[in-house]
Amino acid sequence: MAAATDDAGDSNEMIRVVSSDGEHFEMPEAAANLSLVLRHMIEDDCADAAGIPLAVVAAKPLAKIVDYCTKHAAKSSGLTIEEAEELKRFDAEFIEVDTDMLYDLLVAADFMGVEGLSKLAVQRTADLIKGKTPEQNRETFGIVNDFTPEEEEEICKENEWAFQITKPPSRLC
Amino acid sequence: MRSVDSSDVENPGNNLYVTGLSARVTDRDLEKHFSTEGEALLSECERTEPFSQRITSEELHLQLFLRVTQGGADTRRLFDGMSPRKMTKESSCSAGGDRIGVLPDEVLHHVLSFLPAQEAVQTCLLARRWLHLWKSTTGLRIGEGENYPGSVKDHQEFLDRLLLLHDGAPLDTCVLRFDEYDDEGDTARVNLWFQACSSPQVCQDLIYSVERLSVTGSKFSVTLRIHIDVPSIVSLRLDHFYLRTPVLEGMPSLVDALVRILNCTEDFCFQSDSGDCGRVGCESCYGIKDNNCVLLEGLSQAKTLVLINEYRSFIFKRDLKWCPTFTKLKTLLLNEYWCVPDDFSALACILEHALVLENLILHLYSEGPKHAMKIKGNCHPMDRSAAISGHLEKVEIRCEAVDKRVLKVLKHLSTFNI
Repeated sequence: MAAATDDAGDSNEMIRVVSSDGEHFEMPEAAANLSLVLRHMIEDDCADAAGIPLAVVAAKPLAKIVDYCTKHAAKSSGLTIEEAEELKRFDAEFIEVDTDMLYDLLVAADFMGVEGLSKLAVQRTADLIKGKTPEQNRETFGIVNDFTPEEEEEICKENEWAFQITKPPSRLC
Repeated sequence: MRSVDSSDVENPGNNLYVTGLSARVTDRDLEKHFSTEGEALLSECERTEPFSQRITSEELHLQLFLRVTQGGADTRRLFDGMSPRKMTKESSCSAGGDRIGVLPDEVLHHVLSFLPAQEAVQTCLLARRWLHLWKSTTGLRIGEGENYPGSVKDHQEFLDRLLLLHDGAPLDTCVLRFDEYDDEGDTARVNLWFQACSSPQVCQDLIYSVERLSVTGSKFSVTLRIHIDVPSIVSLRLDHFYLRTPVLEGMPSLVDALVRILNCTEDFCFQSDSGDCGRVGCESCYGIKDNNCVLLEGLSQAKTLVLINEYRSFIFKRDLKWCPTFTKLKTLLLNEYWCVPDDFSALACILEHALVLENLILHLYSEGPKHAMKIKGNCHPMDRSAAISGHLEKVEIRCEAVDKRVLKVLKHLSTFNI
């Protein structure tokens, strides 16, 4: 299955995709192959001039994904250390996005089956959560606390074992 | 894996792919849902093979391949019928609101898998939506990246409870780091955790497995040799450990592995560099007489191997006496331990047993990833020695400077016509 990215060099065909809000994008076939869903559709000859419709991916995240896949497909195999580092820098900059875009990327990468991007977005989300108190996390992600104070106390008690070896950040209980 | 015969594809536009479904959505649910769409008929439904054979949680979703037999079913319409939890509609709530809570369960499980285990559990306090999510996390990380990860005892209650309450979803990452590792009790307990991490619990359909195992900076037991017996491992990192090298059991699906012996291990004997001094009561050579290979046997199925030994541990040399055949090994990275002039027997032995080796990389006397020198050599298929893989294409030597020792290695390699 990994062979899909190997023929990046000799396949110059452009694959068209259409976002949920009707915008058209193009990327090399090797880039599209990084998406499990697109790859299967290409294999089944579903990629035509009209473009593959992606019903749940809006133009904004799709533009980012096309960007990501194109960059990664161009540098798929036989990376030198410098190239690998450059790709790492690209990833780090790429994922410096606001939470709204982050959600869009999480959903879209998951939907399209772009493994590398899924991991990148998930890692970024985890990094945002890490080392914060529940209150800080609620603020970052706009989570509404729907527990009553009594319930909260109850949960703390029930999961006391997980709050015991307290590390500096979370010491709510 | 996907068995679509060519006649299936003659009608493009009739194929509908559905992905991102919860693992809990069964075929029946889908059939029920899609049957309301009239013309849509669930005629073929299969789990497609996950990306590059590495199953991570979200890839375990049913990736359904549905064929709409009579064309014309509007894709958008189908998606609109799905519950909002499964399919987040774009920009419906872009301004504020709890958008993270609307993400599919699997994505959040994946996020939790990247958190230290403790913090993953603590997310239960965020909101009702998060109360039970941690129980299905796909990763388990203890002490990762911490200077003082704590002892086995410190984590004992936490891990016991976590593994008990965890719902048995597949763990694709498991990192257990401890800074103290005392007695035989700890050994038994860690073995128990390994088992709990890697054996089926309650789930029927899902393969409960650890795909990536990273054991870093661990102190293994002095007296007992730990066995790592997790057949499902695809990627293994055994780095920077202390005391006794663990025994690796068979890992048939292993793809890549790194084993680095950096520190003072107990596997060191003044009398012998291969663990067979034969002295009665030699502590170092103790306990490994009967079980043949310690490391190499378990690694024999890997495609990519990094074997680094920066301390005088005898394990590798000892293993070479029972050197397994590496039938899939394509890329091999070794450090100078393997080719100390003028003894190239270790290098020769491993090359002889790597039947399909394509790339050989030697890191000689250099520190860190920056290498002042890189020497690349190619093999000519016509005149290479019969003692090495017929597939060997590239040999790369990375070193600080070309000195006598490096030259000797080069000279030795040239005897293979490399």
